[in-house]
Amino acid sequence: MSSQPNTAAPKASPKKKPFFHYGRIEGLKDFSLALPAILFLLLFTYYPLVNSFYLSFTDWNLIKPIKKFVGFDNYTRILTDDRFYHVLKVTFLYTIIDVIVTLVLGLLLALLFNKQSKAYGVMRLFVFMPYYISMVIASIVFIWILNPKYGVLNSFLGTLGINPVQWLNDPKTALFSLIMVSVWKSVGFTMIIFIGGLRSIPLDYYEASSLDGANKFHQFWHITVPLLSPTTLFLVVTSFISSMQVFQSVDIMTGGGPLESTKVMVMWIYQMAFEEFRAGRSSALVVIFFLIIMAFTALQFAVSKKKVHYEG
Amino acid sequence: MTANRVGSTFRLLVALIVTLIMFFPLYWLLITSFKTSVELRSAVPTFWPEAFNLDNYKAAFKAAPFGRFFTNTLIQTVGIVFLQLNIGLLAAYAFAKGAFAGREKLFLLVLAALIVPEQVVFVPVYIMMSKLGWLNTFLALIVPHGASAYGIFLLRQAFKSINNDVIEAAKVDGAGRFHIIYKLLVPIARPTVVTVIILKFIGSWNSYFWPLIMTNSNKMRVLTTGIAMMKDSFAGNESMSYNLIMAGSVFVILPIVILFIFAQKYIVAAMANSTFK
Amino acid sequence: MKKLWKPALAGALAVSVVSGCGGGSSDGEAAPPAPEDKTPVTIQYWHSHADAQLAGLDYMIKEFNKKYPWITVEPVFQGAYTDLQKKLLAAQAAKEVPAVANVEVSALPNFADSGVFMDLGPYIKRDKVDTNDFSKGMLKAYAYNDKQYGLPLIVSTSVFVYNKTMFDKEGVKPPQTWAEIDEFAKKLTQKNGNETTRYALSVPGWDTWYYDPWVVNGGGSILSADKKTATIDQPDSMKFMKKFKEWKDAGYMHIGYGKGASDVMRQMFYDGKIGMIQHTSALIKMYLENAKFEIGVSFLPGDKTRTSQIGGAGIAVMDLAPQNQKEAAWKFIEFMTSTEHNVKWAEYTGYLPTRKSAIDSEEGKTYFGKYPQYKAVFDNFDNVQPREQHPGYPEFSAFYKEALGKIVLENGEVEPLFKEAAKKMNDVLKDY
Repeated sequence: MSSQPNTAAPKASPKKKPFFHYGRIEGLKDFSLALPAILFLLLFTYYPLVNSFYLSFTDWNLIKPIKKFVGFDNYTRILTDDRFYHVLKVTFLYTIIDVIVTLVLGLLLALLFNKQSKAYGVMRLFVFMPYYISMVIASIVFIWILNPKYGVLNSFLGTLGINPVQWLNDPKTALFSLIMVSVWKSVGFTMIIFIGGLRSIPLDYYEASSLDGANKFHQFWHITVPLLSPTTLFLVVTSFISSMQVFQSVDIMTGGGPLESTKVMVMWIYQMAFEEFRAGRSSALVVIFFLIIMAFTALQFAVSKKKVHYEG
Repeated sequence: MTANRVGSTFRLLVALIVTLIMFFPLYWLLITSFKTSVELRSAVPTFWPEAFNLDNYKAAFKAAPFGRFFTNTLIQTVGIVFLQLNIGLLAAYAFAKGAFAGREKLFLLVLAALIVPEQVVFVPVYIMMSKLGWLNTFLALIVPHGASAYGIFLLRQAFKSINNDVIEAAKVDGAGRFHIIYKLLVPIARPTVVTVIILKFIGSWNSYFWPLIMTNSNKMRVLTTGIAMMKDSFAGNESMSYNLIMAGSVFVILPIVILFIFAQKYIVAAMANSTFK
Repeated sequence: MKKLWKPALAGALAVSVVSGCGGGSSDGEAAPPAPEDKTPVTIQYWHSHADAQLAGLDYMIKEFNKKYPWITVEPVFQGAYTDLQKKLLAAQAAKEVPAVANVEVSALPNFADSGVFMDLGPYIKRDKVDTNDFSKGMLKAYAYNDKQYGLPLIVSTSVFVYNKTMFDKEGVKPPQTWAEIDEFAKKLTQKNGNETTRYALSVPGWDTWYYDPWVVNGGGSILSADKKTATIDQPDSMKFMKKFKEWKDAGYMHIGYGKGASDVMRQMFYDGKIGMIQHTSALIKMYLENAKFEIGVSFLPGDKTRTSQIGGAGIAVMDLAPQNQKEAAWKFIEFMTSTEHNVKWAEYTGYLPTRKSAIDSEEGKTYFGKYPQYKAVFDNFDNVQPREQHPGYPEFSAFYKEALGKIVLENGEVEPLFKEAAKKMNDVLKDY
């Protein structure tokens, strides 16, 4: 919080000097420290991506010895397939609702639980706990809780006079059920990060505005929200990316159904390669999907340039 | 004053209800693990088991070698955390305090890795592992996860907020980079370092997809893949064996829950730095 | 050390010799001569045998070891069929394969096409395995393009399991033809106003395996004879669906759809809320053990024909495995499918005996005495057919499954939905 964003580089101004000057050697030494990380990412993230790009022009099915080159066929087939737009819609629907609900709830919980006291500390512990739990287990527990006949949720709703809901078996509620699990698992984490953000807002802002006669609500909109915006941006971007990549809960809880109502992108990529024997086309989908996430992430940063207040 | 008091009681009440709702699924997991199959199918679910029978635990333990799964998970987790932390610390220093051409561009390359899900890159890595003969070994579980873009990002944030004077002073005293990073910066950025360890520990402990793909034998299974296999294996028996699966799940989550009940305060302290600044 | 080293070297030599001779095996001409080599060898068996079948597997492996003490079999559970299929794909891509694996019928064409499985023909010939002892349909299910890639290991077919106690009380018999279903269902269904409180019958909508035979029995087909176009939208092919919709709308029929639907159906059956359910014969034993009423089993009712389809899994050898492992693997599948333990294996797993000689044996007779319900299956065994074999099946079957889902869940119209499904299927078929 102590330096301006634009002057991030600490040793800002190396001047023109002979080739093997002190600064360059030092620079090489600095660079070598980043090298292991870069090598790992190149090897295990970027090389596979490039490989997918290559495979996306073939008809490979993972097991046949020869890959036939098919040009842009995989791309045109995907882009003219209704399913692609359906899957895209489902993925965005899931992501948008998930991100908004998690963030809004997370902020509300942060305001609620941001109190220095032992009781609140213990409660925070419990709210954060789902974040530790493996998605595999969270999914299985929710399958059980959401069981239409023996599930505790329907039993509870029954006492309120609500008819049993089919949850994961109904195309109208299945996606919502998945979002429920995701929110349950990550809202505590969002809360913790927002609390971190709230605590970094200097108290004198509030004091000053209190003297001006502003009420709590006014303070929330005019101090808390703007000053939290860097934290919010961080959360929007990271949860956008992870929501777009949702897979495990879908795989275990719905398998993409019923009626494709929860068929998200990664699920489709995976099914295409491993159930429909179309690794080549699935690679084309990987490439398209990567470009989509990248474009939207960049868009978020671009929009945020105007809206995010970096204080100090 | 009384209005204030009513307000804070109300707040406490709301907080309590939220806490109970959030905890409920875990409570339900625990309670289910003690139930008999008959109780599982009672028309109205019982909120307290009729008896704390341990049969499910015995059955779960008999069905799968949880001790082995536990050891495997621990080795995998410690290996990944160790690699990610050290590689991350070095890279974070380079990107926060280093001076070299293309620094910001390279950092963007690191960050962009965040948007690549493992489900779309595992095939080439899998084949790479097989060519190295690493499949079914801890190397395949650990090495491909050696660098974490998210970890590097968090550590870089922390290092950036440390004043350069401290580093310059150490350099004048003749301290090398490793000395600066491990002896000087790590202690200052301790909350973040601990947070990265915690987050990565959670992530690796719970990772499912990667170990599922990279290992093929019972000996190499981890807790998450073990429990998923158990679920599949029981699925064929009779319709519902949630009690058994929940008993198995307790083995998976108990260690991590206990471990992190003690670590939460660090996370709160460190997360104040979580912005893209 | 020396002791260990010597046999290892001998083994390596033997392998190279054997694989030298075995070069022609992939052409399907000659199998390697039966090696009398008894060098220890370990083979991995990747399977989908659920928990309930593991005792049977243990028994079989123990018996196998008595006969072939030098072969060690390492069984590895890899999840349900689709998960196992994914693991096999990955293993093949990495060229690190187990020696033996289960294969589900619908995945066979893809694997066979890509040369993943070893052609068993030469081995069958060499060891004079009497394949006529298997039922023809079973054998054909694991053959592709006239080559035998696997042998039937755990065989099932879908049947109607009914609540005999309820049927006797209501005085109904399981319907044998589609035409009988209306009357049967009217008698058995109970309603409270418009809401059905007891369904006469239930059909699983979550897997095409259950309704493919209905398509066929109505006189229809999924693909044309040349397998180039989808015929699912032809009147005879859609006939079953129209019937299903009628029965569903009348409140007679329950159709489960999606993950977890199987649980729901089983439970409703146990609770007496469904009279008769279509399910796999592999679970008959489970119903016998868990139901509080008497269980009856009836073959699927017919219309133009009366058939059912083969389910379960076969057992196959991976072609990429080293030659000494292949030889051991062949011995293992020969043993697993042999007459010797056929009935015992069936009893353990709940699947059907596969050998005619085993069924006719004393042991077989005792078995049918113990489980008369299985008799209903065997009386019709010549009517159990292989499934539609097409490498695109896993992909295109999803389309008519979805059409059925829309009819069940959203009350869609049969014809437009099946027309649309056929169109999408044709798009896929173009690639083959």
